[in-house]
Amino acid sequence: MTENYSFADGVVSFMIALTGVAEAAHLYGVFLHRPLSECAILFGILSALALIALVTVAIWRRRRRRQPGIKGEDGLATRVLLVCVILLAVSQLLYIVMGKGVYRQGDMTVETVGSFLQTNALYQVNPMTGRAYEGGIPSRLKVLCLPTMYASFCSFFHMPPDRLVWCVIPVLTLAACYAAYTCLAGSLFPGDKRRQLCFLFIVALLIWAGNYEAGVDGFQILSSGWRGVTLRNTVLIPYAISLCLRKKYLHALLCILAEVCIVWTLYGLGACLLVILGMMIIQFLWGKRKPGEEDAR
Amino acid sequence: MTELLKNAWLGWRDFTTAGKMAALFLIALLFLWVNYKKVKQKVFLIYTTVSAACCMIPVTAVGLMLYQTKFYDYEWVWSIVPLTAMTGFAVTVFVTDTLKEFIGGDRKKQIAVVLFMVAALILSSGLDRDNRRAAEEQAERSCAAELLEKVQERMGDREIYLWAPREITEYAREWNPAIQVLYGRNMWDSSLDAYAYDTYSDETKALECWMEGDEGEETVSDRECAETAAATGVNCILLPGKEEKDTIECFEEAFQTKAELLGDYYLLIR
Repeated sequence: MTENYSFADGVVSFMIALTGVAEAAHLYGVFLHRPLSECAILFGILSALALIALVTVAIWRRRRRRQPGIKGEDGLATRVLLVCVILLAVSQLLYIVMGKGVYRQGDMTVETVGSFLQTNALYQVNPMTGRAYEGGIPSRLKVLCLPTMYASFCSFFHMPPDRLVWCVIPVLTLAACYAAYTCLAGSLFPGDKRRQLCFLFIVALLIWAGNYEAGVDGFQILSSGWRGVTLRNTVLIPYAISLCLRKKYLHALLCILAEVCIVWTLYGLGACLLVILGMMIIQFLWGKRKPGEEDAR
Repeated sequence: MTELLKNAWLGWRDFTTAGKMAALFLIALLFLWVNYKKVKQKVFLIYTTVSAACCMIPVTAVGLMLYQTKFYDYEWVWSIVPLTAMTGFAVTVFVTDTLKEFIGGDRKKQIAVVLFMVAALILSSGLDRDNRRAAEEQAERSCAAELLEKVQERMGDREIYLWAPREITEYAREWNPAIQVLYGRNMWDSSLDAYAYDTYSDETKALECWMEGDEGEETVSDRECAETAAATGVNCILLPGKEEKDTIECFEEAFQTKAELLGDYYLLIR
């Protein structure tokens, strides 16, 4: 990809696009009372279209303008750092696949996905009991699309909900997380491959080191990678910051929309909005300072 | 408001007690502010400082807690602070810039300092994460699955509406979503109640207390319990094997069936 866009941008953008099409399929099922099988087909078609669109845009932009090569020596230190990052990421992947640290307190995604598959419908039974709802569910929760996306994957690949939710999805989240941090590394240290890799190495270490308590990034990614809040904190927010640093605010808006589809936010006003607004305001105020003021210090 | 302020204060205390990532983050911020002139991404630094301050000051933290909805606890207000990214940024700046200035081009010293930092980073985390609960859960899950498989064999093609002890009910719906249960995990994990407006009746709560051997608000006799259970419509009951013979007989009478000993449990099917 070009114009400050890299392959990592493509990975995160595809994840955001998947969220968008899953939301469309989910709303189709919820409001028109359509069966899950129909929603899954719709999700599959829209996902394929999104992928084709993304690849087309990438090829078109690449033809228009070639990306200048990344500066910085590609020496031994860079190669060692790259190997270290890969090793750490693989060790995290193995930890997730082994499923030793699955944290399911306060979460019922597996039961919800199982209910969708069992009834071939969305929110017809209470996932906790398997019996019809008596009081119903909050409407804000009803529009969140992750269970439909996971149920669609289960039906595509004939996979039990627990394996998909606890093993496969966290691995994909981990990949998207590294893609988002790669984008952020590019924004923080533009054109300096060695520092970018050093940053990624430290982030990988921090993910391991943070695997001790709910709310910390490391724990979220390694122990509950399927949750909406994990996707937000470890993929959308780092990516939104990287976009803000590159002043790509329109693209950053997509992070806000993606969060609305996967996290219970206050009337759609989530954490991504605060982050992007905060970065924009500070960038605006910083831009108003007299030129050379900083150099004079 | 007082309650929210208290939650914000206690939340911050808990957030910094279990592991020391928050302390590491604050050291990272301090380092960057000391080396302010060298930091190229000043917008990122200022934003992170302001957002972190908002999470630490109880009054602004309360505002953020209200903003993020009551569904989430205090620790989630830290979502707006790029804690991992900022710490990673500071350590990278330290390793690639400051360290070189201090110790020059001596490779051995550089490697020693980096190794020391990696050790400090690992020690600053909560190394004592208790993985025993996850291991216990895995063992419980496989035991429950084994038992539920036998129950399903006995039930054949019939739908299962199950009443069982907590250690079985906990995993029943994950194992097979076709199984219906009298009450779900949200009976003992109250954080799951936010996902629906449904509530359990007092009768159902009393049945859960009886099954777990808890003394509820009112004591229910075995016979009453068996009759109430029969009235709920459950067609499959698992009772702990340690139950008295009289208790089992009460249930056999109410369900007009014979109990079968299945591992550590009595199975009653009607």
